Amino acid sequence: MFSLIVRRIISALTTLFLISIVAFILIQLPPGDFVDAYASKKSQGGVIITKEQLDAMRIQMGLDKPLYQQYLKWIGGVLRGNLGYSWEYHRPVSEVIGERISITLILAFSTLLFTYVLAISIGIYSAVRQYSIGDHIATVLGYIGLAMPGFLFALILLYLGQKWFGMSVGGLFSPEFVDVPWSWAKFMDMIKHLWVPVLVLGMAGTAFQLRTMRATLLDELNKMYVTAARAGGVPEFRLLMKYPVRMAINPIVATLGWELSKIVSGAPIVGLVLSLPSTGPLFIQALLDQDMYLAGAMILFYCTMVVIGTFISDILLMIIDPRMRFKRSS
Amino acid sequence: MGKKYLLNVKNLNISWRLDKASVPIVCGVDFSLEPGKVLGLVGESGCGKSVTALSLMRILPKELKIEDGEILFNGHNGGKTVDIAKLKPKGEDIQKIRGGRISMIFQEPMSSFSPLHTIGNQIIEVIEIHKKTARGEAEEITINLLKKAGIADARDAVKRYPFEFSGGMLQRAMIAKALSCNPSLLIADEPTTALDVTIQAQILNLMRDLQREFGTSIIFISHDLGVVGQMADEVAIMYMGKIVERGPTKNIFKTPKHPYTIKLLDAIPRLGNLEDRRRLEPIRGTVPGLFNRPPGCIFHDRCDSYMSGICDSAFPDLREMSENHFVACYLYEKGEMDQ
Repeated sequence: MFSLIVRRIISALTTLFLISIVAFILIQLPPGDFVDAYASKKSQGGVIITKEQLDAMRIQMGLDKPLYQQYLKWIGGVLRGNLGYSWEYHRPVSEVIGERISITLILAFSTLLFTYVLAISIGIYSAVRQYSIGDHIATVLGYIGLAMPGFLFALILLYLGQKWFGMSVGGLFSPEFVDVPWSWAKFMDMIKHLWVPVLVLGMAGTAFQLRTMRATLLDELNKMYVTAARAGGVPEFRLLMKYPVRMAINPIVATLGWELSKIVSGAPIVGLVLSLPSTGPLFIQALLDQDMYLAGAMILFYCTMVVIGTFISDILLMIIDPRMRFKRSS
Repeated sequence: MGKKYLLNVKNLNISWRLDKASVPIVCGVDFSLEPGKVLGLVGESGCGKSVTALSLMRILPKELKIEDGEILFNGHNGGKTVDIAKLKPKGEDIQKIRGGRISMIFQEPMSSFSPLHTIGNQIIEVIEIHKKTARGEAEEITINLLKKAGIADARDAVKRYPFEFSGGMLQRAMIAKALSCNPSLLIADEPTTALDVTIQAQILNLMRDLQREFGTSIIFISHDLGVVGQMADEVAIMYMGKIVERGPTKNIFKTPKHPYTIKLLDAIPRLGNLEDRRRLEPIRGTVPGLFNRPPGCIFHDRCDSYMSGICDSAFPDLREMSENHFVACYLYEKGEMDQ
C-alpha cells in the first residue's frame, strides 16, 4: 500500500510538470503578447506609444527571449515559490491571487461537501424508497439540475433574490465587510452568502452523483451478499450502511477528482455572473490582458486542484476497497 | 400427530406481485421436519424450491409476498412455537431467528460474501449480534469454526478477503458462518451446485459430519437427486410450486409413485449404465411458463399416464400410500390400483 501511494505521488508530480509546459504554451498561443494588449488599451485612451517604447518594454519583461528560456525562468521561479510579477496589477502574482485563492478553495471544498453529502443521502433514500413520491421528486429535480447550465441558474437566482427579497444574492460579503480584514464577523457573513454560489456550483454535480448513487445502490441491493448478510440476522439499517451503501459509494469516490475539476472549471463563469471575489473573474481578466504570469499561475493552480482531487480519490478508494490495495502488489 | 416437529409448514402460498396481476409461485405447500432430520427438497429450476426456502427466513425479494399459510417453527429453547409467516419481515423477532435459530447456506459462495469485508468480519458479526459476545471471544469462536469447516490456516483466514479464497474455501466459510450460532435449522440452497465435483463430495461430507456433531436439522435443496439421496432422510419432490410427492428417501428412490418422480429418476445418468448404452430419458416437453399454469394437475400435459377429464379437472390431494409416503396423483386415487 505504501509503495502504491509513493507511486501515485510520483505520477502526480510528473503530471503537474507536464501540465506546466502545456499551460505555458497555451498562454502564448493567442496572437500578440501583453505589450500588444497594453498598447491597444492605451491607444483607446488616446495615448500613442512608439514602436521603440514597445520593444524596450519587451526587453525589460524578457518577452524578446525564446519561449523555452521564458519557460525555464518562470518554472524556476515557481519552484522557489516565486510566481512572477503581474504587469497589469504592478504587484507580485502571489499577492494578487493570495486572498482569492483561499476564497476559491473554501468555495470549491464547500461545494464538494455539499455535493457529496446531498447526493449520497438523497441517493440512498431514492434507491431504498424506489418509485416513492420522494424518489420521483428527487428524479425530476435531478434532471433539471443536470440540464441547466450553472450561469443560467445563477442569473435566475439573482433575479429571484432581487424580486422576492429585494436583496442582492451576488458577491460573497455584505458591503460593510468587503474591504475590512478577516474577522469572525466577516467569516460568518461569508457563510451566510456562501450558499448561493455553492448551490449554483454544486447543482449539476449533485444531480449527476445522485443519479449514480441511486442506480448503483439499486443494483447492489439485489446482490446475493446482501441477502446473505440479512440471513445472518443483521438489522436492516446497519445492513444497508455496511454492505450495499459502501459498495455503491465506490464509483462516487472514484469521480471525486473529476468532480473537483468540474467545480473549479465551472467556477470562473459563475464567479463572474455572481461577482464573487474568487479567482474566476481574475483569471478571465488575466487571459484577456495577456497578463502572462498571472494567467500561468492560475492555470497551474486549477490543474493542481484537479491532480490533488484525483490523488485524494485514489487514496480513498484504496482505503475503502481492499481489492484496489491488492491489485498492484500481487 | 403426536410427533414433535421442528418446522411445520402448512398451506404455504407465495405469489409474485406485478402491477396488475399476481402470479402464483408456491401454491399450497405442506411439509414438516423433525429435529435432527434432513429433508431434501427437489425440483427443476423455477419450481419454487428456493422461494420456499427464502420464505422460511422471510428474506424474499420485495416483489414476492406470502399470501397465505403458516410456518410454525419450534426451534426456540423455551419451546414456544412461532408462526414465522406472521412476523414482520423487518422486525426484531425475525432478525433474532435469522442466523441465530435458522441459518442458510447459499448457492454461490463467491457472491454471498461482501467483497469489501474480511471473512472473519462477516462471521464475527453474526456471532456478536446473536450471542452478544465480545469481539475477541467471537474471533476465537470463528477461528474454531473455520478449523472445523476444514480451513487449514484458520487464524490467518479470518483476516483475508473473499477474493483471496477459492469457491470451495468460501463454501466452507459459509458453512462455518451458518453454524456459528448453533441454529436448530440449516437451510442449504443448492450448496454444491457452483462447485467442482470433487469439491462437492468434500462439502457434502463436511455438512453431514457437522450435522451429526451439532444435531442441526437440514433442509437440503437441490435439483440433483443423486446428491439428495446421499444426504436426506426424507425427500419432497416439487413441481411448479407444489409438492407432488413426499416420503422417506428409500421409498422415493425404490418405489417412486408420481409419474414426475419416476421420470426424474429415469433422467439420472448412472455409471453402471454405460455398458448397456441405455439412452437417458428426458422428460417430454418443458415446464410451462408461470403465466399459463395448466388447469387440474399441473403435470398433466407432460404426463404419459394422462387421463382426459380427470387429470385436467382439479389438482389431486396428497394421499398417504404407505407410512409417511404421500403422493398427489389420480393414478392412486382408488388406493388399491397400484402402478
